[in-house]
Amino acid sequence: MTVSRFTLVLFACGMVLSRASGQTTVRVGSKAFTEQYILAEIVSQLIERNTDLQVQRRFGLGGTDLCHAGLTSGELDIYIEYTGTAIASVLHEAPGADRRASFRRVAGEFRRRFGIEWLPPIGFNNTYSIAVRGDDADAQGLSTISDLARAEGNRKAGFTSEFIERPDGYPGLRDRYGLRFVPIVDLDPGLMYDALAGDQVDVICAFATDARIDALGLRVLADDLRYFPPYDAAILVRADLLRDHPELRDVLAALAGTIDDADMRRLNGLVDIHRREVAEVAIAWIESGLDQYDTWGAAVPREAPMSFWELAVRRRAELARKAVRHLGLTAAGVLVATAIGLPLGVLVHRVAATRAPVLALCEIVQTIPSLAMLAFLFAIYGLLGVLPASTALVLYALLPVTLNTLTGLRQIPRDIRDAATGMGMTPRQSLWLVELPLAAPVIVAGVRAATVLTVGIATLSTYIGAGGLGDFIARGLSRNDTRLTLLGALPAALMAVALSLLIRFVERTLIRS
Amino acid sequence: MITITDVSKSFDRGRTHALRSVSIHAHAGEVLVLLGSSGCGKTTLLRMINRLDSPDSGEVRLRDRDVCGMDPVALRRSIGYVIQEGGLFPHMTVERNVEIVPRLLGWNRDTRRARTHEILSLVGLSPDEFLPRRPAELSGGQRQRVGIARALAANPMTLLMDEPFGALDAITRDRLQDEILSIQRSEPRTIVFVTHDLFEAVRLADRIVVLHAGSVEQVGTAEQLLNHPATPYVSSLFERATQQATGLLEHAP
Repeated sequence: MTVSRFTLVLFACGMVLSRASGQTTVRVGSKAFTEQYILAEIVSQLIERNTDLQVQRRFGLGGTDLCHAGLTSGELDIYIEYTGTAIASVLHEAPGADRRASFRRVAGEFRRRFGIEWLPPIGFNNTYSIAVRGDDADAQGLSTISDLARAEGNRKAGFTSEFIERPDGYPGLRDRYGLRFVPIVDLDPGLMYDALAGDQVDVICAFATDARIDALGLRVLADDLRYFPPYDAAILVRADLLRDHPELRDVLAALAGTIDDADMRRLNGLVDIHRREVAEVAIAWIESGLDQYDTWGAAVPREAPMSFWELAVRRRAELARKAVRHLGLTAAGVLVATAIGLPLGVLVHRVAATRAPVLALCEIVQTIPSLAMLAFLFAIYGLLGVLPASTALVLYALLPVTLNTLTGLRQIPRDIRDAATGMGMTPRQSLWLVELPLAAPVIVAGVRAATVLTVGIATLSTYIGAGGLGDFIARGLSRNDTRLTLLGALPAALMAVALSLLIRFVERTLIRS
Repeated sequence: MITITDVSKSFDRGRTHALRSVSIHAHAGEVLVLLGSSGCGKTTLLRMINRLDSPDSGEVRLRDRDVCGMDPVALRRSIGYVIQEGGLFPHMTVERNVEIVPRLLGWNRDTRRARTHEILSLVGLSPDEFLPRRPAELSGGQRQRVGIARALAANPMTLLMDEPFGALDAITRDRLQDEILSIQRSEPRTIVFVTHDLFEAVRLADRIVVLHAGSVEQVGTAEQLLNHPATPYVSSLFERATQQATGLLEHAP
């Protein structure tokens, strides 16, 4: 009862908000890595500058599934996707080698099946590629992957685990080129580039537009046998929106063919390496392209990069907003979980037959990976944002509350319960006057555990566009920027500790009274 | 005033019986002691009177009404119930514990207050000193006194006591037994008292019911049981006690 009412209220709020913003707002989404933030920001600014439409930014969503579902459900209007990704993850087909054919395939299928338009490709192809150190390439005369297959000497490879396993990753590559690396080590995508530059490995599977390729003096080898499928980036727009606002097509088509691989690496580098703000980079690119890159960008060092504390002070207003949102998500999750979990705990205590199934269900929910849960809830609600995010939090917080309620009730000695019944208490009086007060410390401990857990999980709400401190963490992780990650993680940790202390304080006050 | 007729009870669907065709009767105002070793069914029998357990067959009547036809909550509120260690609610003060049943019965505040003071004095505890305390701040004997006060608070006609003094040292137990006898002299009630201790039974009982393996061995005054044991079990009970007592005397310095 409580859930559905809560859901209804949130839902109603969402309706009012979306109604209020009406037809004149365009919702632009992005996935959670630098390139996506930059392109989404460029698209947003172009729309704001050249049309009467307002833009709502829903950046940093957790994956292709969410973005695609957002577009098909109308929760998003625009985001940037890659041909190879769309073929593999949405159409579930084997990607072809031809760039043009791939684009025609996805454009046709998306228009027909989803009512989504693919605008002409932006220009760059963010595919997997094979990279080596620049000095190695020069010394051995390596410019293609075939050169690498013919080159002298044994090379050690560092690949992402995904690349090692995917049939269209290393296994196929090895067969196509006759490559042989000994050994091959699993590396985190964020660590590969530094590992190669630091001589820890000799070959990596780089993403073609990663800024670190240039910054660390690495060399991408040409895929001369055309093994890697194309990942051409293009803007996806809901066909309805284009019909209602045909002016959008011209504004966005201006981006077609304007950013090649090297340009994208530079733009990424401005954010990832030179620590420029995404919005700043987007404005600069729109106003002067990359002509000014050398003068305003990397070559001219600005003042020393901000320290964490300077960053925190400068972005304090944003930090406060996100912290409040984070607190709200946590509170909603814990309160609703308590409102459900406490009666559920009483139920499984009183009706033994319900115990095994209910607890098993809570435990299963607990094991669902967070991103899968978010995607699943999005599929159910058809909404991004606070509602699916807080529902996920409720589901995760349910187990500790329910389990501790049960444990708290079970640890009450039998003779105390007998005494209550024997005095002539009704089951309800026994529950409220004796059992719940005696179980209270254990129940409150469960709520406390749930709260700490929820503060942590709420950082993932960013991936479904619900905001909170996770925004900073996701951006920091995607840009390899420790300060930004800390800007989210540190307040989250403090919030967990503070809430835990607060609950402990409330608990003591309760016991005393 | 309590009549139990032909009651049987099994906790494992008839494989073994906790009680087998038990019939007993407690007169108004008498102390009836159910005596037996652990597992003999005496506690189960007691719990049937206030319906914490129910018989598979047979009938339990209180003041000539079948308890199974009564509202269990109202029934229990009309019966005082004392268990080992008092069964006090640890999160409530002595005052709150004692006034529980009057509160459930909806007595007003002043009446409850007067009664808690009165009843605590009756069990030998100073109200001003003990009412604000919590059970954890009491000795075992004090807890048991509070347990008795709580059971008597609403002035029930019937009192059920389930090994109330089992966990107390001999001296405290002695004193509390005296207390029960003196309360019983001033305000007689029907008391059903469960114990495994023969001396306690002899001391308190108007009549004793000897239970063994779910059946009644004999009912009678202590004297009758001692002089005319009906079964070998009853005579062995007294013989063992006599042997223990003489054994103790022989080993005494």
